[in-house]
Amino acid sequence: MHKQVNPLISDRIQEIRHKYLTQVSDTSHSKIWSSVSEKEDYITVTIVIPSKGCSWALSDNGGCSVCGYVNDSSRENQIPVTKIEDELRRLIIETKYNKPLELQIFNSGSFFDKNDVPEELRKTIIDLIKSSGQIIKLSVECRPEFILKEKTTIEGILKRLSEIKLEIGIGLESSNNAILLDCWNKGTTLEDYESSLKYLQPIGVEVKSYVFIKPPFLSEQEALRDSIKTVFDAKQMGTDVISINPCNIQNGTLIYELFRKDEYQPPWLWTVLHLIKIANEIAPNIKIICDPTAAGKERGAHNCGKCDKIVLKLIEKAVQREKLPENFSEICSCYLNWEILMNTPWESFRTRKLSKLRKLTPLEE
Amino acid sequence: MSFEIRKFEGLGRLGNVLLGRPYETPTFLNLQMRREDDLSPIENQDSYKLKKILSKSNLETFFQSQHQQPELSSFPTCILYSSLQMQGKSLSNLTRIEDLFPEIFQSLVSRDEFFHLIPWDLPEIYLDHINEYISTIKRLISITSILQSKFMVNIPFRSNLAESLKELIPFKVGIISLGDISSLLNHPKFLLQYLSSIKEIITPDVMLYAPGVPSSFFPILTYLGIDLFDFTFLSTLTNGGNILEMDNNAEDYKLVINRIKSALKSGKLRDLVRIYANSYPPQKTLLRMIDKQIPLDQGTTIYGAKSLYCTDETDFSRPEVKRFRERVRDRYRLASHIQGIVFLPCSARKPYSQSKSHRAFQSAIRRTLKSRRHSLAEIILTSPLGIVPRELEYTYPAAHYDIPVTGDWSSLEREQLAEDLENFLKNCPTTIQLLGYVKGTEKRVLVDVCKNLDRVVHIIDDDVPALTSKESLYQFRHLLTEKLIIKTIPKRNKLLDFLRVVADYQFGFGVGKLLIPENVRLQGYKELGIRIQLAGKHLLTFRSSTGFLTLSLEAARRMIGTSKNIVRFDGESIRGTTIFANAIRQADHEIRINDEVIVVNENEELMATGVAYLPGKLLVDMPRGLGVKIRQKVKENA
Ligand code: SF4
Ligand SMILES: [Zn+2]
Repeated sequence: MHKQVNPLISDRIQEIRHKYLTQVSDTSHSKIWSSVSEKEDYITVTIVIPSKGCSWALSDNGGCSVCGYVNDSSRENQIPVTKIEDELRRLIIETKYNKPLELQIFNSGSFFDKNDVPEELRKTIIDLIKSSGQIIKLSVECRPEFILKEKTTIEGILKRLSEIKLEIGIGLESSNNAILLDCWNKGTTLEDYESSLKYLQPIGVEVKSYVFIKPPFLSEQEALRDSIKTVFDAKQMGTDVISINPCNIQNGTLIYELFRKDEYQPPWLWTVLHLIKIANEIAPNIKIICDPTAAGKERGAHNCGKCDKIVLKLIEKAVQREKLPENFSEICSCYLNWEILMNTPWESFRTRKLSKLRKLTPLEE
Repeated sequence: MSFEIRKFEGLGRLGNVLLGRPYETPTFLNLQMRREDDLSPIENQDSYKLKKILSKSNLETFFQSQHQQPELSSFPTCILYSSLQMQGKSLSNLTRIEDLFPEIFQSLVSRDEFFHLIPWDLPEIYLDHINEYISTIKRLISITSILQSKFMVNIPFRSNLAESLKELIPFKVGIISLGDISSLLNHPKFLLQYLSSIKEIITPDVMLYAPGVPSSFFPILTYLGIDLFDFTFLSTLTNGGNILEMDNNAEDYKLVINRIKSALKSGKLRDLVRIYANSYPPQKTLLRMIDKQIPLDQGTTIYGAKSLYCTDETDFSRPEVKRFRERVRDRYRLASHIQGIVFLPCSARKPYSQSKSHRAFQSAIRRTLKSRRHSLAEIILTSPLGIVPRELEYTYPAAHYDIPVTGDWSSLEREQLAEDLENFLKNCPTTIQLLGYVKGTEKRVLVDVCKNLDRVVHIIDDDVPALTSKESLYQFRHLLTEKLIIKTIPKRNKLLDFLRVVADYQFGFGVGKLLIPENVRLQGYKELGIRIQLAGKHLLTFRSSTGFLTLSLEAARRMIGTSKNIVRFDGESIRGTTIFANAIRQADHEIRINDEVIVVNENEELMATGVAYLPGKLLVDMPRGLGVKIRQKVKENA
């Protein structure tokens, strides 16, 4: 597949990535992370495995501008296969649940990429899943190019899984190709996403689309508009699930560099809340999930600091499609600041010194 | 679009911008964001659906600045286009911008409005390629020469963009937006850096737009040369660190603009700036720094409003005061026949000689010295002007300044007076005898300075009652006769000396002698005005209201050799009573607003005399607008 990049951005990312990865190469990073959460009629088990690392991030193009997942991958080290096996066995075979399981295996890259997740590891994982007997659905992630390249692998796994459902998460992020190119350095386009989706759904795979808010170089309002448009486009194309991901700033990324220079600020929680509210209206029949990482912290989506917890609760409510309060300005005075921000055409002029904005109290007269 | 300046003060401009219709500036800018979906002529079904959802969910209103801004249609409009990425165009394909802009151009050809051409969010990362980008834009502008619109570009603080954009300015940049200004309001140093970096690259017909600043900053920013504001602001003000909500203040905002306009019209912008600065501490610092760093003399009229208020420290360094002190230092010299100086205090009534106290002082001198008094110079010690020679007591702002008389001098006032006095006495021959008829601070300063310079000064006792009392005046007369040795000199016309000092102050040292020979005929009075004739021809008029001379053609002929205050006119003949800035090829940069000017043609032949509407540099740089008001024209074929 022909990948289009903007060398102005990708060279810089590559530089940052290289510098950071050589710095952290000795630290033990091949950690396995897992969690179990109980829903109404099923249980979700999530395991993040340290595979080789996203091949896009490890390529000469440097990977995505906002993503530092590759920092935690195995890379040049051996993938701790036995550890992964043990952990999986413990989670899905040894532990018995009273509800059916949905298993999410995230490798922060592409599950069907042979260089990222070796053939044997994938086979081991699928074997374990098959022998578990509790699992009803498997969720993995993959970049469009590997979905289209590894059709036989996918179809083979689908056959083996038989009655177990397969869901593949695709990082759509934005439906605007210019943003994917200039802000993201994503290396994929809307068209790539669409052809993956058009291939997967007829063979019975569910598609989860990741929608990001807010990439670098966009103002708050532009970012919100772009994400709304992206939700809309994903829905039009027929995605099964939409996962909304507010930016959190990870080390060794371009966005971190910008953040340090006060040229980037993570989105407001108000922005995230509005995005979900609108997404609910745009896509009333699509499952929308949102689990903001580092929310309320400097490096994640946040508000003034006083209302972050409350607004996070509202975001949860919005995801559940519960009724939201009519008047947000009563929740916190920083809502007015946000409203002004959304109202100011020249907001996009201000590339710097945005960090203080949230903390200001509007003057009541 | 065209912009012209009507009034100029400090760096502030009362202007006129033609954008479809004329608007008076400073004013608000009606900034409208246009997005890619507004651009596409065909509404496709999808975007229609999306729009419906958005409007239902109220979110659309957030994106419509129009919504909260009051009556924006009555202000000049500027269309902004959202960033290239939002329009789906990649910044990496800089050369492909051509695909994008012609359609925008097309839609604007017939309309007279601004739009934003350079993506204002251009990240630093792209700066390497900015030149390539700029040349593309230049090419684009040149192929769309029919375009009436001008562009607005945003220049961020400390960006290399400014340098690159310099090349674009002569093309079609009508407005520069200072996008970072609201975050710098609390940092006077950076604010001034930002403004001067931009002033450096623009011509005066480019307007400056300060987005998002609170109305309390409008006066001082106008004073710094900003022409356009808006209703919204987000800022990090120290006074509470507040964001004001604009709805409540829209009327306030308009009020401030109206105040600024009328202040500019009556030459009182500086006073308005001071009033606002006094209620906002960061502004006061800013004003002090402006007085120190920004050359405001250009934008300061030779004579202005009837009274010049000096109410606080910031006023002691206002440009009118600065100029007076400088000119006295550089252009005032004692005439050669002077044998002594008497230092006097100032009076509340101006000119001093019309006050009760000065009438008493002068009559004491007259009665004591009789005709020998012509060898005695009188100098008034005052704040904040420093030293005022009697001859300049009518000259703006000596007869116009107004200070609260408390008798207490601040240390700054004392320092200023001491500095001026010391400068003056250094250049004053030691044979000149000094006498001080002053008390209190003035006395102390005089004594200290003389001590420093090792000069003898005779001075009135400290314990005498008021200087206007009989007792004090008696002692004054005693000092005049006992301490000063004034020899009799041939009779002279003191009025001539007076006029020459005025001419020197007005045009430069030495011009007085050149302009006013001994054999002139004088008619009139200091208090009412003096007509000066030479060989039956009108030469000059002294105006007591301003304390300045006006030039006749005859006087202009005498002065032309000095090449002072010359305006070079670019045409055959002057029609009407005004010369417009576009017809001015060159002008003496020393010319100030309301200065007397001499208009010559390209052969250096005298054409007229007149009064400058704008400072010399602007007369040349402005492509349009009023230039010189003609006083007298050379008759053709004469
Ligand atoms: S966002 Fe996904 S595709 Fe991009 S670098 Fe990270 S893991 Fe790879
Ligand atoms: Zn808040």
